[in-house]
Amino acid sequence: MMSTQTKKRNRIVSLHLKTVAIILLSALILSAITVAVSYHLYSNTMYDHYKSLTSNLAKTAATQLNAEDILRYYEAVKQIGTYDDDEYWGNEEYKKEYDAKADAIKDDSYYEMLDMLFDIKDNNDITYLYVQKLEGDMCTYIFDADRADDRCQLGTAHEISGPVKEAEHPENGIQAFITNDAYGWLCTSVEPVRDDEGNPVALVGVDISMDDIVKERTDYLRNIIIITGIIVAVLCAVILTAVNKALVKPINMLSAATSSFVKERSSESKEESAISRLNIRTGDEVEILSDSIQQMERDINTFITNLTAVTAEKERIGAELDVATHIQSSMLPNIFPAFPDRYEFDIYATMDPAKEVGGDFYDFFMVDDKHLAIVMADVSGKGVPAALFMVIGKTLIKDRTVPGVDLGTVFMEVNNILCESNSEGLFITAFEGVLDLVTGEFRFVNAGHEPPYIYRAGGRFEPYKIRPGFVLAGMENMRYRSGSIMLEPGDKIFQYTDGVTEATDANNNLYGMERLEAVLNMVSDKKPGDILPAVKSDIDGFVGDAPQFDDITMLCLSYKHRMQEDASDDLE
Amino acid sequence: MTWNKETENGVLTVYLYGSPDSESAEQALSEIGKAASGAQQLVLDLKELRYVSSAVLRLILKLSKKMKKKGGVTVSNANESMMDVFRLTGFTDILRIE
Repeated sequence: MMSTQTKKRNRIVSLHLKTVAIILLSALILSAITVAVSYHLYSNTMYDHYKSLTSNLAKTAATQLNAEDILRYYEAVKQIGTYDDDEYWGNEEYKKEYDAKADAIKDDSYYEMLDMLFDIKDNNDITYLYVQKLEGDMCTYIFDADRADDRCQLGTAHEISGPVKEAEHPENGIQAFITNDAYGWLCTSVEPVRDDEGNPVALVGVDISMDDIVKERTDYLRNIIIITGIIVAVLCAVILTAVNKALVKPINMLSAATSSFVKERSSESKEESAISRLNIRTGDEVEILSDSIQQMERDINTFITNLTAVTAEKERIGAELDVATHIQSSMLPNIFPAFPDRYEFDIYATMDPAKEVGGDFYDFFMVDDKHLAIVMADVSGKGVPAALFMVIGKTLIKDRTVPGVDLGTVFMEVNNILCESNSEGLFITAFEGVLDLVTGEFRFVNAGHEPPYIYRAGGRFEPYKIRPGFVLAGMENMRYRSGSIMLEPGDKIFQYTDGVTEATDANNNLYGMERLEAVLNMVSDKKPGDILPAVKSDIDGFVGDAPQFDDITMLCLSYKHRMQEDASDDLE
Repeated sequence: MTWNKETENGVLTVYLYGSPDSESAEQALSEIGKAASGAQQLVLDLKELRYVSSAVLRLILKLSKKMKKKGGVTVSNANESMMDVFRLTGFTDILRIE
């Protein structure tokens, strides 16, 4: 019990755990994707923004510059010649000399334009702002709005490189691009300064530092993570609660209720079952499941009740059949040899009951020491009523068969008594015979039963036609007439019930009287104890696997020797 | 086993069909028994009956008792093996055969 409970608790946690895990995982993945995507979009937007900013600034600066003045400065600087970089920066004297020549070129107009450039630079967080003149592979600085010492002096020239070099018409400007090198992470835009005819004369370069982006992006990332985190956390809590209420909790209730079903049934408590107390109203398949389980419980209970009743009924019937079978088998004389000290005759009888208990019976007894009675009878109907009726019939016949009384009278009396207590409407076909062991006279009476087979010494078994007579217990006040035949020592009598002749095989063929006669005549010289088994095995061979419907009852009497009169005197 | 009842001029004729078993014989007994109480004569037509079992014999016996004052039961169209059974069981003594 304990381990099932612990298992149960684990199962509860794990369903809950599963939903929590799945929801959190989904939320996490979703937010990660959202953050990544928006971060990426934000970055791109920033880049685009910076690029257009840079372009616009370069364009603005370009429009403020005077193309003709720039050309003038350029020509002037060409006169003095561009300087040697290493010399300029290595040699103080050289530097001073060159600076003086360059500064001489700069007039008021120059400084006005330079101021304007500084204005733009200072007001717009620009890192580098410069104006260059392109010629062939070289570009020459005209302006460099840089207050640092290492600013490019007018006339600084170097080979073009990078995007400027790659461009087909660099004089028309270069679309904004981003580089990250010795100068730093910069967004650069190059725009042309045009003269009055619109021809490009010089290039304005604007470099804006991207370093700020890093900070802004980091801030953005942090903010969006926090916001997403909060929203997702709240959403998860709400979803989890909802899922728990709508799904996990009802399912757990169902699970608990169905688990206790078996326990409740075996404890036979009269309380309402856990299942019937369920009240799940989620308005979805879970509710349908709950209703189905409640219906199923009702159906199961009904089924079990019916099954119990049916099983009890079957057991009762089985018990009844057992009683009937017991009555049958215990009533008939079955100890053989039956009269070991009587050498005058030999007798053997068997009764093989069918699956459904019938009412066949045989009987044999000494009426007195000179007379032997045999009885063969068949009660109509099956089960306990037939068995009980058999007991009554057998007892009555034996009781009424006394020395000196005519067998017809016996049957008449037995019949009337049987008719009195016969509400079931059963009847008995019966044959009784009494053999006088001294004279060999065999008297008999028949009440609707099969005629016996009689074997004459040296002859064969043949059916002996006798007056049929009406059945016993059919109608009151029936008269029965007895008959008689003289037997010689060596003769045999064989009696049976219709279970023998009506034994059926799988194709519904009957064993019949011809087969019976044939097998009897194959073993006619044997003693009764061997004749009956031979007949039985012939019947079995014929029937095969088909079920046995009726009792197979047989009796064989062999008259061996006349009884000696004087011997009987001794027995008296 | 099934059966059909026909009444004409106070004669109730019952046609029996199929194979008899104890259940259908019980039902036949109660139904025919009730119908027979109003009839002057009862005839059992056995032409379509497959065979005569002990259940049929019991049925005939009980109906005979009911019809004792009205001359008993008449059996018609019994085939040879049915007649053998009637002879063997002595029912020929209490039945009218047609």
